Amino acid sequence: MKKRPFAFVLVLVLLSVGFFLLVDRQPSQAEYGDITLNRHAEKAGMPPVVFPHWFHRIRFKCKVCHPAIFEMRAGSNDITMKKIVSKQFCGRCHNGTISWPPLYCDRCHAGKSDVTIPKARGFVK
Amino acid sequence: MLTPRRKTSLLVIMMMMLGALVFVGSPQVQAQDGADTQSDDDFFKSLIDPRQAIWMDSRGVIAGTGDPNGFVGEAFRSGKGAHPEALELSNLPLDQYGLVNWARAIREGFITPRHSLDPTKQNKPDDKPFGLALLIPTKSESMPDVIFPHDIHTMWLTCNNCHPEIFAMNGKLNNKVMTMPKIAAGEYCGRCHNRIAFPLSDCQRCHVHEKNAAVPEGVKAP
Repeated sequence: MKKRPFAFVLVLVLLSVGFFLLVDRQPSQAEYGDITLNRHAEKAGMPPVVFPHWFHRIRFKCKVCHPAIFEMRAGSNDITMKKIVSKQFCGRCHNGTISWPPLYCDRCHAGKSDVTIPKARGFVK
Repeated sequence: MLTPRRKTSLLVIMMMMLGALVFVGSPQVQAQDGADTQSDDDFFKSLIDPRQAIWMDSRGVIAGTGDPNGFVGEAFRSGKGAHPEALELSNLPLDQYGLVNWARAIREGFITPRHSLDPTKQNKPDDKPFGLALLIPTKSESMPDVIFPHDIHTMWLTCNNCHPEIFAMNGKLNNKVMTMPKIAAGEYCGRCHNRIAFPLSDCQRCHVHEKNAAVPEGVKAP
């Protein structure tokens, strides 16, 4: 009879430990609408790029980049660093004039290989 | 009923629960602290060449320079990729799913995105949004009709983003071939909605018009 409170506490300790494990406190790696660019990155030994769509959307309307700079369909833009350095694709802005130049690899190549973009719920293909 | 030992154990449990709540809630508390340190941001702005800074949030607060030892956001430092916490700080209006409500953001002036990269055009006002609203009858009797507003779409996009590749310039033709399964598979509206724009599960944002009700003024019926 005397041991009962102890057992009760133990169960609650286990429950709260489980609570910690269940609650995902990690900040997400990406936001809804972000784009992973990994056609060439990991093959070349670089972490994938996670393009923050929202970050650019705050500053520019869609029509600034689409469809003149980037075709609006996943996989239809073959983006390489060589093209970026020669002011195509991201390099149209990231050239040291409009935005910072493509010299800081880890600013964009910051995704992990298992990065997951949050998807919309329901009606997902 | 409550012996002193039970009372003590109950107290311990309650404190643990409280501790857990505080622990789980702490990231948001930190985020709010970060938003209030305006003077710190000014100090760092004075140190950093603005061309080399990453402007993380909509208020132009610097959160990183790419230097891992510098003034970098928590998530960036831990290698978690692009700017996840800065969006929380941006104070943009959210929809029922916690996603950014971009339509409200641009309509109510939370953001003023640029409409051109050309410096000669940047200072000129953007083209006025195209106001035409179209009634799109649904194929199901139980689902309200859609009213497609051109105006919010043309605040972001220009005609050739959608026409004629995604939608033919013929409403009747489009209405015949457009179905929800196709849209969910990424055609028509699904080219942007469910991916970048708000998700398709937010039915009532498009299906707004009761079947057989009078067509509102300014809406073009097919």
